[in-house]
Amino acid sequence: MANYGYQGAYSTTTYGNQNAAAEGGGFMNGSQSGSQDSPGGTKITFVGQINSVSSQATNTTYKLDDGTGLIEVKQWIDADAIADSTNQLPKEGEYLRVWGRIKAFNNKRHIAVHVLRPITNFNEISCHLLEATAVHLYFTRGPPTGAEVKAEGGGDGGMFVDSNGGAAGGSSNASKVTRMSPIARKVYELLKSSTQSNEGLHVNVIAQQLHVPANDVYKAGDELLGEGVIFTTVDDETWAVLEY
Amino acid sequence: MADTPSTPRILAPHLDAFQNRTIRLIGRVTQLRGETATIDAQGTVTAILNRDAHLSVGHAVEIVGKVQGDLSVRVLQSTDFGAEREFDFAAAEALVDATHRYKEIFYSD
Repeated sequence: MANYGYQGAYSTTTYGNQNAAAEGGGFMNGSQSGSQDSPGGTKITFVGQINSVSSQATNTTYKLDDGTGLIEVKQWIDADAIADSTNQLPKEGEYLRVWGRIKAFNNKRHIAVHVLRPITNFNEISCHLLEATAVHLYFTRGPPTGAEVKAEGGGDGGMFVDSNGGAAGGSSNASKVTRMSPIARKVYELLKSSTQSNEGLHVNVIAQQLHVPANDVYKAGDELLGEGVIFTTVDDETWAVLEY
Repeated sequence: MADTPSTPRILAPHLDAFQNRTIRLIGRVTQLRGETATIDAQGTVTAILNRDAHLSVGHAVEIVGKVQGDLSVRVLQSTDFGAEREFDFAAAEALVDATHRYKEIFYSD
């Protein structure tokens, strides 16, 4: 099992399954239930294409391929729910969304299904895998703060780069602004979105457009100026967004 | 994990790096000509179809296939992803980018 630091806390994407798919074929030491090595972290959901279907007396086993590997997915048949047997089984080549739990049997990993749903909108596949990436990055790098966003855009060590020092400065501005008061955010958004010359917008214009007292706009301006995300232009009361 | 049948998601510009490998490619079908189809995936890809491939022009398609020496793709499996306008190619292309940028969670090599 690959050792990712967040294994235990992690539960909603293909990720757990990636490891299973890649390493389930006998790399695990002994037969153990998934919950032993990662308590609480075995419930997963993922999207995959059916590679094969085999119907057995007690369960239906699908081999699902999500592009990263194959994993067996077992859906146990509920003997009481006979009416369900008339339902059409998913066929090979179709895509499924699976919710389930990672289990191990004879050194081989599989997913015990809770819910299976065929995918009808194929954008869900892209969506799911992008979500999985986002979650992975969230756990390995922490929430997307200004520094993270910058590291994305410009390279590593973003923490100590001057926030106005590069192309990514804009996004870090945005993250600074998200921590400010609502009115400061509104003013920033307006300055950013309004078509303007180099001169920017005057306080009175901002107040008028946002329908707020000029006094509040001044306060918001102080906040934004203090963080250096806007600057004064023709006079102290005309501001523009500081961006390259 | 050599026996893991992973199928990396790629686009036309990456074909060169994936010769003789099984890949997964999403694109729009632009032309059908008997045994071959032309697929647009940030560039033109020639797909050599198998018997049970049912492609339609103007549809999005996902192909699992093997990249040949001449950079055509021999189709092993094809899945129709519906009409072109209903499929978000930008998302699919972003996904290809993400899977290679953060390959640690997608591919073992």
